[in-house]
Amino acid sequence: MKNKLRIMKAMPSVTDDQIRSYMNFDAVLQQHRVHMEHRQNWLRGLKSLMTVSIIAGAAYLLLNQEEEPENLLQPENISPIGKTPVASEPTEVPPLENQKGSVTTNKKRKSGTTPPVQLQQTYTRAEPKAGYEYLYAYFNRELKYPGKAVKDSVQGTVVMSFIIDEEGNPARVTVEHSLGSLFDEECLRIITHMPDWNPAMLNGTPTLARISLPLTFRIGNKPISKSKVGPTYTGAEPKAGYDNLYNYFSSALKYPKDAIKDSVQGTAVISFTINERGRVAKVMFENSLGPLFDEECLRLISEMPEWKPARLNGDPVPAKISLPLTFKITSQSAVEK
Amino acid sequence: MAEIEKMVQNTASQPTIDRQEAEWIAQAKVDAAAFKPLYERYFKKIFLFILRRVGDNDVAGDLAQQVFLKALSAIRKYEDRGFPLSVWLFRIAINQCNEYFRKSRTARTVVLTEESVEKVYDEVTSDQTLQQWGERLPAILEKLDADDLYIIELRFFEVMAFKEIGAMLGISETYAKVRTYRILEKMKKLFLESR
Repeated sequence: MKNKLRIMKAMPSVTDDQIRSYMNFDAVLQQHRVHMEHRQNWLRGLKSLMTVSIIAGAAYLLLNQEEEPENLLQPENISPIGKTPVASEPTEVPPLENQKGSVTTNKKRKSGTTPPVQLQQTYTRAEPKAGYEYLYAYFNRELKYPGKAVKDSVQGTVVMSFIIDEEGNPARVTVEHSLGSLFDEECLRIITHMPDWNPAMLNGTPTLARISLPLTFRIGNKPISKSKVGPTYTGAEPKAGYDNLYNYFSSALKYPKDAIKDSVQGTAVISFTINERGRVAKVMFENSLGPLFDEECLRLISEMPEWKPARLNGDPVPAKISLPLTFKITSQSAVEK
Repeated sequence: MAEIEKMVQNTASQPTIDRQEAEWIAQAKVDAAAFKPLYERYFKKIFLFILRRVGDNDVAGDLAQQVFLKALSAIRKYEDRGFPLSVWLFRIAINQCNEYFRKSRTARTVVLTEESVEKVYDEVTSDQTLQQWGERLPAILEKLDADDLYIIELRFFEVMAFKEIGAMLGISETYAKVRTYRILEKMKKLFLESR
């Protein structure tokens, strides 16, 4: 009934040019086509998702403990692949779990004779079955510059993102950064036929993982030395480094006091975009543990150290980040006052 | 501001039967790529509509794209009921916004210009001063249901016809009218209570 409102006395200023900069019909069309093509996959994926949630639901009832982030998304940066074989090492973003120090609460558990359970989250990311090297080799071999586009001499990088579902199949393929429909189609083709993947695992259960993949198209048949020319994509990262961010999370994350009585533990997954200016935008709750935890997550995100935007060929681009934040009641929290 | 006014007028006075548009829609049902002229025609309207509710350009841009993606996948099922396509798109936009507020837990934005305050004030013809009304209006709006808030915005801030408002919220024209006046009554009551 009650909505918190933000009252603005005037319309936010926006020019026609700004509005136009958000327009991209090709991207919508492309996404639409992908949706249609993957409808079949979707239905299959949905079925397995339902099975997983039924099993997880049963497990939840049996164990009475919270551990079902069905949607754990990890930031995955895979280094750019060139049309001419250019493959560099993947620059992977380490998972941002708050594992460095256990989260402490400052209140004794009321029932507190039994020591609280330590919930260990184990997460392995999705990987190509035959390894990344093999995947790169596949891209280098198969990615073809669209013949029709040669006359326009378009060169650049298409960023594709997709999800590896619980069965290891790619789904929800979307074009994040398009070079035009000819290129998008080629990328789509190559993604749908790529070698098999192993799904990401959370506590031994397969879960969804999001992958972003930059694919670079260049004209020219000479392999270019890999260090020099490759399109450069660097993911968004905290200005002071990930270690600093982890430290921040482990010291700042507070288990919401009021939730202690329910002894909820688990991992909240929050996703947000680091925009071109390095600012946090579009915060979404991918996996929520309840309003109390959401509030705490929001507080953490709003106060976290600054970020550097992702860069594609030197230009800042928005990047989506997913952060799992683990809330645990630790033995320490019982010892502390 | 001028932009909004223009847009408001467009929506209100657009002829309901538009041959060109009907043709585009028919083509888009067969070939999604033929949706493009409709996208070009309505993107700005949808963008501004969303912007007034989310208050952030980037978010509005993103959500507007999503609206058109949904429109593309549903265009086959679209039936012409004598409204411009915008009404149908606004309806999708409302759902998209609601989903966004639910997922992001962001506070809903309301653009409340002096003019809009006056418009509602004229309707309630309360014996209070305009200034008092203006001061308390935000708190009163916060107490309304999500749909009721849309109705007040659409009717008084964006000056739309009841017929269109009804179509956007999936209710009849008559009911949209009745409901609007019930909401105004409620607002009047809330105002008196807040004294």
